[in-house]
Amino acid sequence: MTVDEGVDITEAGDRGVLKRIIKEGISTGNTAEDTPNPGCQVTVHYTGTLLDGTKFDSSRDRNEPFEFNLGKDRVIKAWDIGVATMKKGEVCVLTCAPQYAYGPDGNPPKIPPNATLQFEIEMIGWKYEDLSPGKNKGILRHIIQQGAGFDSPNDGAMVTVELEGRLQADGKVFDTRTVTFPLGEGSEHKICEGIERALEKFTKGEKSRLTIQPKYAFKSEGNSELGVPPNSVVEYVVTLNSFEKAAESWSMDGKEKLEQAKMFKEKGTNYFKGNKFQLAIKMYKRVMSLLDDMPEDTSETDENKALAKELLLSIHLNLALVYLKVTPAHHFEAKDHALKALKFDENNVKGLFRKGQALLGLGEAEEALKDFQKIVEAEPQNKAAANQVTVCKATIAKQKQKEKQLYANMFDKFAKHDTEVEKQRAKDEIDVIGEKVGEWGAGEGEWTDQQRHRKPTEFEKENPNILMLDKDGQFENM
Amino acid sequence: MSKSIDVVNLISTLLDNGKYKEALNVPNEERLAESFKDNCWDIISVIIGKIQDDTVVIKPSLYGTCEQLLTIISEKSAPEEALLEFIEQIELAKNDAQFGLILPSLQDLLRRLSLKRGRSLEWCLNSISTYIEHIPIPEHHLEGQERLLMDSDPNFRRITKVYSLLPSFYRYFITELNTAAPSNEKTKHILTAFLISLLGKPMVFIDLDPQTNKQSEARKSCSTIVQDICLMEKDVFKFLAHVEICYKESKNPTSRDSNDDEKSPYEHREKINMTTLSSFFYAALSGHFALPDLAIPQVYSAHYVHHNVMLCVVHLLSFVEYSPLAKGMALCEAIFYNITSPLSQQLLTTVHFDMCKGLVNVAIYSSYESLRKRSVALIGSHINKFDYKGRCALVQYLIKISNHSGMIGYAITLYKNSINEAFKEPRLDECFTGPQFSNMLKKICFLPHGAESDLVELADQIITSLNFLRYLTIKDTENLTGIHSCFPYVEDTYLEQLRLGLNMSKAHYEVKLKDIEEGKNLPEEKLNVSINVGGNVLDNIPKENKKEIICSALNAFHLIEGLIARLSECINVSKMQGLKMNCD
Repeated sequence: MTVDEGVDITEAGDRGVLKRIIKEGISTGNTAEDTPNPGCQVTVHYTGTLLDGTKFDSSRDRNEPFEFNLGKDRVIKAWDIGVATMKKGEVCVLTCAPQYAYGPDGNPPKIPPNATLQFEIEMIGWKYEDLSPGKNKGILRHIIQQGAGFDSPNDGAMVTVELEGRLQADGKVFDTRTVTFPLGEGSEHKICEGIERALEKFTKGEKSRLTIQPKYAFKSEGNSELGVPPNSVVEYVVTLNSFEKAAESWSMDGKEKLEQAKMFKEKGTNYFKGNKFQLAIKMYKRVMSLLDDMPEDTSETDENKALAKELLLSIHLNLALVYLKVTPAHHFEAKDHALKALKFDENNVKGLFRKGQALLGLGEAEEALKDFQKIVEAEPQNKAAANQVTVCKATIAKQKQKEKQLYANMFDKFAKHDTEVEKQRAKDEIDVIGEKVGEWGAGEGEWTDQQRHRKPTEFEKENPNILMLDKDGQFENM
Repeated sequence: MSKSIDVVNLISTLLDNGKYKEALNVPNEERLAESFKDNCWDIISVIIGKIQDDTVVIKPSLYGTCEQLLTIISEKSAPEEALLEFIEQIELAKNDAQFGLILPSLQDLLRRLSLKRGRSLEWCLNSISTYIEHIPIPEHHLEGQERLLMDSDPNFRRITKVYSLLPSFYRYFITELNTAAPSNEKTKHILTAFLISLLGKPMVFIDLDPQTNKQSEARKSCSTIVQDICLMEKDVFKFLAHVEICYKESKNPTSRDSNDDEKSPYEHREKINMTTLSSFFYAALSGHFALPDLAIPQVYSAHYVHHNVMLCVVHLLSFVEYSPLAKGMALCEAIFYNITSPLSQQLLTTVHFDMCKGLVNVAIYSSYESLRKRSVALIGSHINKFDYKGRCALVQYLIKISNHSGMIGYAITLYKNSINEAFKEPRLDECFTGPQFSNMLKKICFLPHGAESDLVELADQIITSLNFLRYLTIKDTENLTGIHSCFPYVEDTYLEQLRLGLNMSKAHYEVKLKDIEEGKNLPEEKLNVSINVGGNVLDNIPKENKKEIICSALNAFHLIEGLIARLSECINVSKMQGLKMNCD
């Protein structure tokens, strides 16, 4: 047996994986069903030898067939490529170059560095991947297009999916759309549990066919809106376009950061629309932390930088708005974010408007007036700004009025105040030998009248017997 | 009814009075036999109650009698009923002698029930687990050779004793499994899950390192358990998939719960969880224990194995106790030991960063010096396993997450070494050039509060960063990294801030020193503040030590000053050379 025997089955055509069939497998006539798809749970028997004939491993010696998930990077590359081409019952020999096996490091102690491996593999069978919790075939996945990367969305993460649902019984399509929703809240978007469970195992860009039993789909009720009859098995083709990652920003490149930022922005805006301001703020802040460094980052492309600026601008504008909307309004933060937004675009109307509102809220009407006037100059037809200008002017007038009153007779008032202070001081001095001191005052541990007249606290009211309160919850005279 | 009470009392009194032969005769006496059978439940608890930890030494015949009586009971009683009572007694067992006494009877009963065992085996194993988990684990804060002393801790001895009792109990079922013609997957899973759970608490808190204590009882027990697991699950890497699931669940505990009945034994999180699996993979892969020859199929992709084993490492590093930390590091060393060719940056996934963070935390906060040192070494070797791009990403991460000047200094040194390595290659890697380099430089030469930063706290970072700059200025004469374009930033911002900060700090500390010398720190005595760290009140710092601290700070300032001067000089020389080259 020479090393070079067999058909090259690598994509690159580098003769890294050579396959030689020893026994043909069973063909069903339908080529798509003949071989396992990525994601399938494959069962094989194998014997692995080195080129010198040394056997390094065999499932037959364990007396137990070997099972693994195909196409998930669980096994050496040569296997993911080779086993995917095998039909049921087929026996073949795969000759795997080191770069498709264990590479320059080998797999000590059994596989030396840079070893070419030969496997005789017998395909016993495969099952579609079962994603249901009890492995009762409730959710079967058939991967059509592999995704990229290793991460999958977590519960609660925003996902954008493209889906097409049909009834298994008659193949009628009942749902075709692209939808964005937080994982776990699918029911509000008419997404069944089975899809959500499956999505937690999807990688980015993956396209799969899911066969879902009623238990994980629309149950015994069906869904009249979508036109799904009760107790129907449904089949979905789902593509996971993008999802929000739990991973932190340092492991992402610029493009990824922007993508994530957009996702968070959308989430924040949804929260904002739902009047969940605190959550909206949280989401927007995440965008900020993702992108804050980016416009200054010299290693980023200009395009990314521009996008980041744009996003940051709108995020700061939104944050300013949210801070104005929360009760009580956080004018200071609002001003801060409006200012940051204006840093990116100093004539931004929204930015000026929100800064003006915040300033007005902080009581700096004159500053605010400047901003609103600037808007009116830029957009003479902007009525809201014009209104604000009048409001500002009115406020300023009022403030002036108030100041006038305040400063009127100022000196008389001060003089009066001074004499009163003087009197009080005189009084305090006498108090040194007053009634409160020493044995002439009330006894230690006793309530003075002043203390007794305070209102009892909630705790004291709830525990009247401890503190001897009367019926009304007032202190009894002790 | 009166008769029945008699039997229980009778046996109790006979045992108390040392009349063992009579006691053993009770079940054989015709008039008592019926009542004996009816009252098995009570008799079991009475018998077990007689046993103390030292009974087997002080009254061996009592122990023998009890043993025999229990055997008789398990033979004569209705197995289902007796089994329930025994299971309960396991959970209630007051000492290990009682526990040990019950196990053989329990096994007998399960043997008799072999066909209609139902879930009883699972219940038995659960109650055993419960008993074991309740043994307290002391933490002695010992290091090095001193840790051997822990073998004499009574609780550690209990643990090893109890573990040594187990194999004779469960082995029967493994043999039964392996000889049965149609293999019973469910039972196999139940037993394996139980064995893996044995490796969790308390085993995870016991040192198993062969270098310190090769012959320890605990190591023997652990080795037996691992071997037995391999007897049942022939492919130990099957559990890698469970690691992934458990890790996800532990990060995201809100995940939907499914019905308990639907769960397979590997989904019971009190048995199969991150701790037990991590402990298992430590035992399997650290090289501290021998595995059966065929236990690891030679087809798994190295990346998949690394990734999931690293999840285990991350988990073990999240403990504060010595043993789990040591195990995590041993496992980490083992998986990286074999890697010689640089890993590509594309393989740098979240888990690498998490592991780095775990190691950093141990290196900074662990109370064990040996672990701190080992951890620092591991951080370095972990980073150096990657290609330059990957190293840069990790160094950047290190600088970002560690709020410890020494650690940042270490990261800078690692970066410097990598550049030095890269210079030896024909072409300097692109991640050490241009904007990527200047970004990193800005992170390295960074004072969080400008001139007002605390220079004493940052001294380590500052000194290494100055060394790094000097190295590059001298080394990179051809401006391959683009360091020349960074000179304005270094000179005008970083060094300027440093000089200003140094002047301020020096003046401040010198005044302080003078104050102390002149005895001017009276107001402090008035304040009467005491500092409490971990329950220990710290003494006021004596005058001498105060002076020492201030002097060492001043020393550091002088050192920094010297380095700045030398660096400026180098920069000027380098600039001159640049000019000259331009002229040429």
